[in-house]
Amino acid sequence: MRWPTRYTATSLLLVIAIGMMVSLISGAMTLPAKESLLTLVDHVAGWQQPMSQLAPHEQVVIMELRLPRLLLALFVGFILAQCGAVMQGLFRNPLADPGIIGVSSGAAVGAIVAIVLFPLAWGAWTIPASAFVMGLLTTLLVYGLAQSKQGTSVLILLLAGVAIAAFAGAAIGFLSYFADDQSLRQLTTWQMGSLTGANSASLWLALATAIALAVAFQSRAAALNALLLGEAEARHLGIAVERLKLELIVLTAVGVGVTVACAGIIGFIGLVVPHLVRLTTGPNHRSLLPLSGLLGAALLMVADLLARTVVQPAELPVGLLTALLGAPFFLALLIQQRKQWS
Amino acid sequence: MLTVTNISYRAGHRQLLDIDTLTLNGGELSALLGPNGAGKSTLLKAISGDIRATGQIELHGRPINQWPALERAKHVGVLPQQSQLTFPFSAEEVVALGLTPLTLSKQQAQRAIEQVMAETDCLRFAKRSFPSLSGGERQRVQLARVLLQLSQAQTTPLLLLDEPTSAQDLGQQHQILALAQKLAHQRGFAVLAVLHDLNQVLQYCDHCALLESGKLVAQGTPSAVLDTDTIAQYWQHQVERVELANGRVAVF
Repeated sequence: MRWPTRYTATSLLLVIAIGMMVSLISGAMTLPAKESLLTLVDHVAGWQQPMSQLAPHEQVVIMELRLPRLLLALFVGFILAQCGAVMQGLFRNPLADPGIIGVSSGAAVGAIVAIVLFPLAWGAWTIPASAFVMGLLTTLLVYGLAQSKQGTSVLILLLAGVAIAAFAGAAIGFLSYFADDQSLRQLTTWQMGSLTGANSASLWLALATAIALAVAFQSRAAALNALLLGEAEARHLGIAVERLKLELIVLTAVGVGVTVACAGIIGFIGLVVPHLVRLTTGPNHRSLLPLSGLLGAALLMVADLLARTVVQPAELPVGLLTALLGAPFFLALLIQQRKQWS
Repeated sequence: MLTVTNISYRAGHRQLLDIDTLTLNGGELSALLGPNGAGKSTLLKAISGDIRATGQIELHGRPINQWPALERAKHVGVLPQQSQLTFPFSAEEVVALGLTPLTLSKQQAQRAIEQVMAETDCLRFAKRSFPSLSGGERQRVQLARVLLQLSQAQTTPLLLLDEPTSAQDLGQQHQILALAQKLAHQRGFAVLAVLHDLNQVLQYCDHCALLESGKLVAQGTPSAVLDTDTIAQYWQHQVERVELANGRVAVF
């Protein structure tokens, strides 16, 4: 029995709203809940007489640490889950992941090259820019490898992605062998994902990407549905399949590239979320795409809340938490549906 | 309405298709016959544009690869032999995918969906998950989808059926062939179906084309083409041909 789309969307929005409030009032520094929320109201309303009693340095914690971080979690989670849904549709395989086209491996290599070889070349944007460019280039390489006279072979795309990921793993191992301690530490945070770097630049970038992708993907929802029938069938239904594949791959590479540049590599959101949405509200991309975005946003926000509160005042890389929660959950789903797959 | 002239297709050194002329008319149910590997599916793929054969394929006097994609989708429907769909769409949702090239209001769409599902006897399992249906049921759902796709055609549409009876039981086979015949005779479709049962061809089809090694070796009315010598030559099987009381011909 499927859940109605509208109620599911409303519930997810409600969960996100509650999660945002909880995230704002939790953290290493204990602040009164009511005053913390009032701080946000004050800043949004911008009135003369602030209602919040918090000291300025406490307001900074809310407005410049917790809020940007929580927003970045929402945007990144949204992008990753939508990209996951699109890749699973394109590959007609519910086990596909946004990293399948090589973008994450490429981005990781780009990041480590920047960290180890030229840490200070172009200031703070060196690492994210290098990660983004390498992610995109790797995807184009994988896509190029999959071209043949008959068009783009999805199977070769998949296999080339796996091979490139293995090669990238070796390159990362090789470079980390020569890295010093500080680089290694930076590298680890990068590879396991972290939202600590949230600032206004990364927030605007992630927000703009999330909106652009949501619009671009939604306008291709019907085509993605038709693609699930098979490429020949989609073509018979009047869809320009080759162009669609290229567009989806480039959009996904840009989306994942931006998330890696803003927050490092965060796994499992793109894999688990669309799967979960499909189980509850069905495989139609018209509802799957927006609901995946919302659930991805909610899950990454909760994961980041846990990442920064479970071992406070220290914190865990958020990618570690998504994998820690996502992997067993995914296995449980697989076991539950074993019958369907055999 | 569909004319195929001098088409040829090679894969490596093998000549898979080499046909001088073949014409399909609206209002006729045509059978595409031939032993396995004769090039029947290749010909369907060439007509539907899945492979690029050299030569001319014209639909309503216009080269088929010059039709705008959406117009072509409204006029050429292909029923695949098998379905790759593994995601849990309901049967009704699969049929609704036939709306992709169309512009219908919500109510019109719902009515059209119900109509094609009734025609193909799919209404009973409209809400069931497509991957859980039997092979025959899935094939009928796909046929309903293709009929929906052709429902806004402005001129005679072409319907290509790749072994439409292969997964059906006896009763359903006849039901599908009767439907194909009705689409041709009453609604003027040009229907081309890959079939194997020669008696069904003799019973339902107006025209048949016999392929061997990529070449068109015979075409005409089924009772004229399917004599005992031809069947023995191309299928290596000796049959007896009898004229039935109602004037029809059958082979055993």
